[in-house]
Amino acid sequence: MPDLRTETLRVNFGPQHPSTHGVLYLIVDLDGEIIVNVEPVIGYLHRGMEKIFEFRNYSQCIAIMDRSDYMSAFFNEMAFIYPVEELMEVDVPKRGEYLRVIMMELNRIASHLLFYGAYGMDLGAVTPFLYCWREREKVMDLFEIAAGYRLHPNYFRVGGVKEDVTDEFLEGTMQFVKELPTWLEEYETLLSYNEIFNLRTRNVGKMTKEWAINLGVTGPVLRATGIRWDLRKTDPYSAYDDFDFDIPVGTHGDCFDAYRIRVLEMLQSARIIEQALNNLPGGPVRAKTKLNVSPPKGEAYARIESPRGELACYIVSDGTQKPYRAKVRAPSFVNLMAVPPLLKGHLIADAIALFGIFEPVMGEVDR
Amino acid sequence: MNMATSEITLELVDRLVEKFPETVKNKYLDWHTLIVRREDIIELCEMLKSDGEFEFNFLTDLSGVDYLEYMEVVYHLYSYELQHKLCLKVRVKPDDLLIPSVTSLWSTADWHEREAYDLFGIVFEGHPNLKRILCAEDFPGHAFRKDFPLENDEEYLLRDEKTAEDYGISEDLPS
Amino acid sequence: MEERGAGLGFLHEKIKPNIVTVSADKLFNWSRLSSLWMLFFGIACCGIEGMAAGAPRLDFDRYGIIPRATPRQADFIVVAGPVVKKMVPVLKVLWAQMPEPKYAISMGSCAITGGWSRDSYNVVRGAHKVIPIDVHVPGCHPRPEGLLYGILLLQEKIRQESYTKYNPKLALNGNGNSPEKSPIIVPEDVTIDQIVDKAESME
Repeated sequence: MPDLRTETLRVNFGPQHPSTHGVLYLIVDLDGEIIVNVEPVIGYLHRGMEKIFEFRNYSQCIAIMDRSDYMSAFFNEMAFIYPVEELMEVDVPKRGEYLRVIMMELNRIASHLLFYGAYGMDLGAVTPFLYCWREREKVMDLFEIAAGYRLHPNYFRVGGVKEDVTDEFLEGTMQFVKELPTWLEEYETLLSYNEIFNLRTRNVGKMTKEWAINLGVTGPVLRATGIRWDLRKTDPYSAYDDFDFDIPVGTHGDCFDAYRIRVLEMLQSARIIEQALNNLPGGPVRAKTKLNVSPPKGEAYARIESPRGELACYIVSDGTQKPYRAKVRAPSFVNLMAVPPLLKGHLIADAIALFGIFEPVMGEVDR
Repeated sequence: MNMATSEITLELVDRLVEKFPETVKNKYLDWHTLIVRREDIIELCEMLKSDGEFEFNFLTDLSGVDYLEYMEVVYHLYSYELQHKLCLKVRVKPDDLLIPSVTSLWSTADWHEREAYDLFGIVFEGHPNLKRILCAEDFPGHAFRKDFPLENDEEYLLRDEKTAEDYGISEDLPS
Repeated sequence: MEERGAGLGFLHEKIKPNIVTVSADKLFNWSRLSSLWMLFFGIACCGIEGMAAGAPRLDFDRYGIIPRATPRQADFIVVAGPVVKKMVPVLKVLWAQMPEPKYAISMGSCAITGGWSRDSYNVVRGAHKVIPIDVHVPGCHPRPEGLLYGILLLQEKIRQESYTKYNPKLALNGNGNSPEKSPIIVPEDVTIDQIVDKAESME
């Protein structure tokens, strides 16, 4: 029988697709069901944010930074304010620091909840997606009580937070944190103990430590390979020194580890919030600086741990009220770079599971 | 607030300056900075990556900055094992934008260099796939340079000085 | 006649409106608005709030709306987020793939006028320059209740349609433009900037 002629098929995982987490365009070359080459094309949400920063003053930039990574708005604000405070040598009061930690950890829980729902939906399980919104709405209500808005709160300022929280917020947060272990157990029975989910994610895409470090991957994916690296412990910032929490670390480096780490991080966040609420000091919430700051001439670079990895801002200031250059080091941009070498040789169904682990948010990738 | 990753010790920095005599030492906040010539950058980075005293295996960020007389590329480096950090800068003149690429040392420099090429026009020699990444393929010019205008900026600024009455909206509440 | 689309003045001046056509109009309009299938084009942050509109707290499924992934089976598209110059051909192709009668909602200030990044070199100032929009839902970002209200307004608009009466305000160019203007057609070899300039000059 003569040899059959085969060729690779080029498939567009186009910008509009329910499982590309936003507007990411993947050009996939397939040989049957096995992936030969993947090329991501980004830029479908490039709004020129960093250039707009050069024409706005610092307090306007904070409001715009919310919209960069829209899943974790408080982390964006913190990443922008932290280098500015380093430049200006501002002392943030203790109560302000504790409130910042509470808001950031609540945001981490909300972001990991949406990962849980979206990852389940990518693999075909539609029910967890509807369950995760139930708790997310509670967190959004808390944000609305404290800051006034659900998704883009614009609550942090240079030197602290905007205003103090009410008793309603503190009681609501305490109740939310006390109920968290019960519903988290319920959510785990939906996915983590499910046979189909285990078959699809265990031993898929084994990543090694050297590979992860060389490609600059950070966040839960790095911790899944076995490296115990979390900026809240190794490079503490804000008030994280005062709290007692663990870092979940994976052993195999596959998709299941990366998923389970995020679920366990939700429990650790609840621990941090409970400790912060019990020991909340009194006093002012913002240092006495002007709202419209002009930092002195110089540069600053500082990094924090966001739900996706290491988020940092490099700010060059020339003494005026507008930054000269503000570059955002987005973790999803760097993590997405690691996808093409990882996906080669896998089946396309495994590719969806692997790709969902990195959880790119396109607002951050394209800025 | 404290930054616990320690700065690289001064004697290690002095060792580097001895070996590459044309570099300039600098410091901002707690980052030691070396302003390197572009001919030395590859050798210096190889030494930083492989030498046991430095072991910089993590390139966090590669950004371009446009100061009008020159353009600068800034590298921020961390080490996981020894937990110290260093910053490198390379300056190029606006009519001669060519820098050797460090993609062979740290694969994470790939998309960062493509972004610097797309937005500033700096060409990286030896890059495997240097083409535009964020703007469209046929975008005219390089967007983040200081002489590239942000469209409609004047209209935005003027808008701030107008009041509601300029637009014909009365301030009275409906009865 | 093909610019107007089926259902909107399809039989204009061919049959006089009478009891049969008016009752048929009511029946067809009711059946169409009770099961609108949505193509969710959530580009940016407004997409998250659009998903929250389908969440258990404010379920849009009770209005008959199901999110469909493919434009071939969708009734209306929700553009939620800024339209960037690189994205204009994609949006046009999606709009062309949707079968008639089709509607569009633009959600959030980025899709209405360009939003906070309006000044940028890369953002098209409003999705209405690319496809004709029926309902605008303002806010940055609007609450999920706002999106539901926008969908209810769209249902009100569908309720007024008729096979035998041509109402120029309900024509496919939803801004109230006369249908003599030709729709935007993409030729074969054209750059993105040319498309954007042509769209802006048609205002």
